[in-house]
Amino acid sequence: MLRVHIFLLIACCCIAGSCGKHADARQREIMAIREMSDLVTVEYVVTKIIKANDNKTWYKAGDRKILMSCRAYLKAGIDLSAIKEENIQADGKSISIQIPPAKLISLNMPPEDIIVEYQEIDLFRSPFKAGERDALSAQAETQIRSSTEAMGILQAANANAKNLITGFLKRAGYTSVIITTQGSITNKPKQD
Amino acid sequence: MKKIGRNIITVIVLVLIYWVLSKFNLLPSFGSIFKPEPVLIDDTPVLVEEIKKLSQLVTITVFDEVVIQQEKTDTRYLNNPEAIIPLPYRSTAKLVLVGRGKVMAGINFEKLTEKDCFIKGDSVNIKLPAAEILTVVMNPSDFETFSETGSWSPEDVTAVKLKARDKLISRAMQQNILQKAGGKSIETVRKLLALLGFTRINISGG
Repeated sequence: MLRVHIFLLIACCCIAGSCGKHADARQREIMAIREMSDLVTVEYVVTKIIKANDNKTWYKAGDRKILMSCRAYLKAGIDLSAIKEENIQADGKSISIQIPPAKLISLNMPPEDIIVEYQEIDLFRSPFKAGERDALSAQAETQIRSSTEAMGILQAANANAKNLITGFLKRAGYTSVIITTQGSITNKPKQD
Repeated sequence: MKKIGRNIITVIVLVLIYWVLSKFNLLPSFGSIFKPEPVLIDDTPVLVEEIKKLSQLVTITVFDEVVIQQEKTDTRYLNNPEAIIPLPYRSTAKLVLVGRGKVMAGINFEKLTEKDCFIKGDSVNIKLPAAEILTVVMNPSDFETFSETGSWSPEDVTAVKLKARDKLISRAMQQNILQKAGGKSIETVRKLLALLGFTRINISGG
């Protein structure tokens, strides 16, 4: 009798187990050629240590530790196509321009700049595979992206854009150049 | 007969228990019990190594996806005294990666010299530098390992990824990215100069 009950219980559990939902939430990007008019005015080169310990899964015996270093290149600037006629006021030798707020144009983590510095793999564990290392590096990528505000890259991009345009206009003969920023600088980086 | 009755009651009770537990999300599935915990990285600081002033006009970005496949002879256990089973074993290791990325092209204003720009009154003559590839973005989140068999060192994987990046660039070149970027750069600079009040604009190069 007990055996029948155990069998029924296992059967119920199996039904419950098969009900797990697997959703593939992978985002697809449209392959295309995009025209733009982005003036890149600053590049930040940043480094980060990627540190992970794979010891949280209860049924896996032993630990796996990895230490990687990475370098990322962040470029920021302004979108020149956002400068319209109404943003420019010229009067004789004086000119005033409203430029768009700076934005993050690209975040690049080249494969050759991601280096495995140290690994510690216990006897019963397998080494980190390429996909697992990529997943860890991708987390670092997200952390770097979200720290752009603290780095002040957008403020630097904005200041450099102002200097660049002022220099050109002074060379063009304007004696008084006033450059302001439309709205405020968006600190939230664009997903590129 | 009694036994059959008892079994039916047991089934009904078990189904009822299952229904109640699942209704209140209290029933862990087999999938969740044996699901490996995600490996999360520590929140280490981001160090700014260098800040560079740039003056680049990005006018074309090509988004693309490439597949790269690499095979090699896997000699992990061949004459390896450190191997657990030092068998004279040889097989083929295979790595197939899918890489998404973007190639950004445009002109580098830093290459613009004094003699390339002539301004007098409302007329301007500019010889723009040739369009070039300014950035190629292929980040870790852009790679998907479709198949990995055998032993691949991090250096081996990086070499395969660099091949994927070269393929991405060559496909972008096939789409005439530089010609398009040059043309669009001229258009952008012309529009901007017109907005600034220049009436006679002559732009070459790009």
